[in-house]
Amino acid sequence: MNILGASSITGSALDAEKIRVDITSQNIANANTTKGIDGKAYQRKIVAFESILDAANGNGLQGVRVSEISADQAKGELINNPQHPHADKDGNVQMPNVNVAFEMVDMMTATRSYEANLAVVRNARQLANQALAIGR
Amino acid sequence: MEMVASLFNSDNYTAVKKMMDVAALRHAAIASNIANVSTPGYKRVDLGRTFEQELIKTNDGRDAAKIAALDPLVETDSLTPSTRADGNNVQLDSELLKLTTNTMNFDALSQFASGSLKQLRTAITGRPA
Amino acid sequence: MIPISSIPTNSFTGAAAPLTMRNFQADLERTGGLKESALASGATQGVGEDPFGTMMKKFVNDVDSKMKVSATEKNKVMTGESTNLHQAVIAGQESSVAFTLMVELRNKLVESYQELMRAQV
Repeated sequence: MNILGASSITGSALDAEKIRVDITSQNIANANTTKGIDGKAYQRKIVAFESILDAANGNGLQGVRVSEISADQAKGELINNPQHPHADKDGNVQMPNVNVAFEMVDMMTATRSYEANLAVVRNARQLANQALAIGR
Repeated sequence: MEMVASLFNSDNYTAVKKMMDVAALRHAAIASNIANVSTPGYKRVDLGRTFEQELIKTNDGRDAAKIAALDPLVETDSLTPSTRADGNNVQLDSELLKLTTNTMNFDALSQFASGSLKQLRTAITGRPA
Repeated sequence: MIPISSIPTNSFTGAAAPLTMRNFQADLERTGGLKESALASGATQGVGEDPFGTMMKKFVNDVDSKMKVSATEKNKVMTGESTNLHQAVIAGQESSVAFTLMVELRNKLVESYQELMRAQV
């Protein structure tokens, strides 16, 4: 049964935006990780969205999904800090390419989109409740 | 089908039922837009502009059969300009407003339909529904 | 001639039997006996088919098809084929109204039949 209007579309959006929030949090958390599991400085992750035709609704209506989570290849800053435990032979430390201010904006945008999709679900529920009350 | 069909073919009631179909479809279109607010290159969808005009004309004509024959379709709205570099032309605040308005319209329509049905029951049974 | 007591009743409460399409048709046939008794007492009727009976049969068929439509819509919602819940609810309500009309009609017919039976004594 599929009585909550367009729920497959909204569900896909909630999943995708949640992933974006999670990845953005991960970026922020690792803003200063100079040595990851692979021995290198943390590379910022980017989430790419793409729309998918929604089979349940047809009509050209589209849901959304995360098409890939890729690493941002841009190089981070090289900071001269010979005291740092991860400093190389020149005394430089490779910092992650994470710009926290940037990530915060991304985080707010993703959160806002997530909340907007929650509003869609609330409205869909209202539509279903009103439909069920017809004639009573 | 005269006796039974005549209960339900008032053009007002037929129009209300068709408008509920329209509202349900519009909700799905808005859901699609809000879901894709961050998708690069996505163009917003809505019910076609020509459909809206057709709807107004048919409602004025008060012909139940014509109203019942209307077929709402979702179309891509490429006229709204894109304000973003990635070509996406969805404006979140405008979509959220359309969402709320649409839900309220549906509420009103469902009340109209309920009113008609309850009135029929009262007329048939002689007792208030 | 059909005695009043043959209209099916619940033996515990004396209430009329549940109204299904079959019972309704049976009631129609019983009250059709009204016409026979009228004819027997000398009333005349033109030769040809019975317009009232045809109309009632058509009416019952119409109500039946409305109920079928309602069942189809509900099925569509259950299988997920339709996302328009309001269509199923409205179809259900409309078939319920049509059915109510049928019940009221049947009640009025039975009432007039009973009145007439009383009068003939």
